[in-house]
Amino acid sequence: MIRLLKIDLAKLLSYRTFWVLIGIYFSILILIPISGMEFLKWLASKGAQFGEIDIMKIPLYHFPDIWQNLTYVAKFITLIAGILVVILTTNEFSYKTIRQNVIDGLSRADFITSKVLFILGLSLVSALVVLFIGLLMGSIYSPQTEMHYMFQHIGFVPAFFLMTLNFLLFSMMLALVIKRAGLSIVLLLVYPLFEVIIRSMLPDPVDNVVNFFPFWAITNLVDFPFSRYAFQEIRDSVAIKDIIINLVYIPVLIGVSYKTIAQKNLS
Amino acid sequence: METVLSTHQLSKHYGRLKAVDKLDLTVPKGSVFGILGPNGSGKTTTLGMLLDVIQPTGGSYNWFDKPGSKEQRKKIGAILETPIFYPYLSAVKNLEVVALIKEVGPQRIPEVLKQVGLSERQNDKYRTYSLGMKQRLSIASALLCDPDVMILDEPTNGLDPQGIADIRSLIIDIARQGKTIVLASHLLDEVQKVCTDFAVLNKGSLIYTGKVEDVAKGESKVVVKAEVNLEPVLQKCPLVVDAKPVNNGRFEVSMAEGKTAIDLNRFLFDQKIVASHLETQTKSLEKQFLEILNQA
Repeated sequence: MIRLLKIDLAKLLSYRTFWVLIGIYFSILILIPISGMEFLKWLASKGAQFGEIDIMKIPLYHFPDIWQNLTYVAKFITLIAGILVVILTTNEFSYKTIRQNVIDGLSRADFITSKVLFILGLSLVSALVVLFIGLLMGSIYSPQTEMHYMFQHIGFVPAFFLMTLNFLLFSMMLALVIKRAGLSIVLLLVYPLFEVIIRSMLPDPVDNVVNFFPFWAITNLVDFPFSRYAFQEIRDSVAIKDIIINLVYIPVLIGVSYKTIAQKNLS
Repeated sequence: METVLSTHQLSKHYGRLKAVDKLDLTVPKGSVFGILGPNGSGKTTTLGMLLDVIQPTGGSYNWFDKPGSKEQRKKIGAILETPIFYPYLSAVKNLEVVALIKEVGPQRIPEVLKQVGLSERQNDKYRTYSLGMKQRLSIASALLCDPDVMILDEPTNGLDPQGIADIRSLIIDIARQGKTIVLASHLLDEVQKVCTDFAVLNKGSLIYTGKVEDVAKGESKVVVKAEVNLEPVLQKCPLVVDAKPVNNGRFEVSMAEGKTAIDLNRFLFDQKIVASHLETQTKSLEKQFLEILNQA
């Protein structure tokens, strides 16, 4: 297992595109939450109004709200990591290196495993970064820093991990099916629209089937949180149902990925 | 005799096209086995199946009397068609990836790079290499695991004359260490120079397999000319199987089994005839190859 991860890393660590994209990804993941408060202050100084509420009074960064707010914002940023995964995967086809890997003694299952391990590592690091930023920003801005408040709703962090993992596995699967970077990235960007269109075309309650579609299921893990500040009901916890759907998706996405190359001629 | 590789009725069909059809091959241990055939005869497809990148339609193959597996491929040094590496990595970094896949330590990397003469450029990115250097790197990569078997597909493709000579002497060196080499080529001269055994493929079928040294055996041909008309003399000569005039009064003579130009010369001299031209025709693989292809 470690060897397979090492193989994937050996391909990446001297690859400039990898460092550029990973740099952009983590910079945005860190900078947006950190600068958010300053941005709101600037908005307030310009006299912006958020309905009837004073922006500065919104407890965006307070424990425990921060966990859902942060992971909700972060889930859009994982799109950059998805693009990175697509590029790294399609490279193996455009350079034909997957074929040479197999000739050299990697099985097709090994190949998928080495990519999955990389994705697992990237998801884990992403979740740790979000956890760290949450603790840091929460400690700075939150009036209550007792353990009880701090870790209430911390479940959004593992949910974010699961969300990132499945989204990146989905990106890899798409790249393995399409095999070309440009088309895969475009599809990755427009695919959510496709699920939305299906939902709108289906009659009520049948349209709930879309909840089980990959993109919907993945993004559903963290609900839109900000409407609570306009005194609306929101779901401020991770639904068990969504966790189960996503746990089922892990082997499905890996399985489909493997199937796309299992019986194929690599030329 | 130990067998390194055997195929049994190995086939790959693409719809109605039979890229490889019911191929039975046996590669003895320690041989340099040439697979000859015109372009599109199924050489690369065959090697692709033996290395698990192409799924056979039928038949089977064994490496060292066992069905193919990734563990066996780790011990085989193979290059197929064009060299394939990560263009953004240096030679050393590329070989590090190969070493990890083959589960060998990186210690041999400097050694194999030196062996193919790439040490000076080892830290430059692969994409900056010339075709010849890429070809050398792929041979270095095949040597990395100190393999018992090497599979080389057109290894001298795109090399300059010096490069071709270097690679050939490298192959002969490697073979001398007792390693088995499977060499696919459409260059007959190359196969004749380095191989001990060879097989000829055409349109996916095996049409000939044998030893390279046997090619030169069998009846030899001698071209002879004298100041007198040789035809009646040659007709009644017991050493001669067949004699046909070529040009300028020369005759191409097929000698009886075991008889050579020496015997013919002595015979003519005994008949008080002095040959003004006497030349033994060595049978080249090229001739044999064309003959085989024409028969098929």
